[in-house]
Amino acid sequence: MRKSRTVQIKPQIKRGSAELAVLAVLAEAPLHGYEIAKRIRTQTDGVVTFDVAALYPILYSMETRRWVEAAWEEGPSGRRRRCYRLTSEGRRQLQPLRREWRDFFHALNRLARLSDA
Amino acid sequence: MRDWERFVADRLGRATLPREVRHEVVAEIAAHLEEHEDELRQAGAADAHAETLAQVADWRTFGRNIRRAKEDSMSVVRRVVMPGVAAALLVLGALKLLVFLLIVPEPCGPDMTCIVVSADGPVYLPWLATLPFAGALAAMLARRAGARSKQQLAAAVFPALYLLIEFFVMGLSDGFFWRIPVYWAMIPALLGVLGAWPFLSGGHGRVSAQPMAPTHS
Repeated sequence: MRKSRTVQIKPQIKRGSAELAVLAVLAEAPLHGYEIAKRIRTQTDGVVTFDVAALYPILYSMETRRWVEAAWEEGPSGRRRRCYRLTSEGRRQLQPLRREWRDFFHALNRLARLSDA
Repeated sequence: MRDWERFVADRLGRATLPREVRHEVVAEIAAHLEEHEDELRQAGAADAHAETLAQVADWRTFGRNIRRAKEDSMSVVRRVVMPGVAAALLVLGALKLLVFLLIVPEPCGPDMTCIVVSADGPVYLPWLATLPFAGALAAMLARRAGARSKQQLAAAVFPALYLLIEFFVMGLSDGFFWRIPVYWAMIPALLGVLGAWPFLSGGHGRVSAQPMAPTHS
């Protein structure tokens, strides 16, 4: 007998997707805010973009929740920038978020046949 | 070349965040905008400056979102409870001092003396005079912790709230008298608010709501 599984997606889907994007790029390397936005843009071929107004409230909220930690560093150009790195708590959060989004896209695909589009 | 730090500081306002946090936020966002503009220029963008300005469409909402993101579960303690407790200590200390200086203990039983503090006694009016100062202290401390005006007011009425609870507990055994909460809680609360008033941050802080017309440096 086929076991069915209920996929529950949290209502804060937009926020969740933004958090996943930021956590995913920070899981690769510590980055400062501008670099985070740039990586997300380039790695999604410009489909997902974060402007300043969208990015920093997410970063600060994650910092408050101890998912990321930040420290000022001086870049090669001499410009001071606040560099973010994932904490162990942030890494713990990433896995369920990834799973949730994978389930969401599978569910959406079954519904709308996105892969045939 | 635009001074991005000044630009961001002007738009985020002073009361939005505690001073030290605000300084850091302003520096970080300014660095981001500066880098964004530089890169657009290097890529040959026709209007790098306008494109950079478009990164934040509504500075008021942005400031509010940053403040919310920075608020942790301890923020109410720092912004309301701690300033409120400081004000309550001042108020209760003043009351104790005035009682010590102005009230003579009266005999109220065999080998017993009692101190009677009432609204028509010598202590009440001088004590009331300390309440605006306590309200001002609470509002200033709350503001330094990044409190909004409502939080500042809550801190300012904290001593009155404490007294109200104390009198309520006393009333459970001694009976309730309508004058007690009026004289020892409501009037003190109003005076606390009066003292806090000049130090309030304003409803939404000093975040600028002006539309951002693209300007060139």
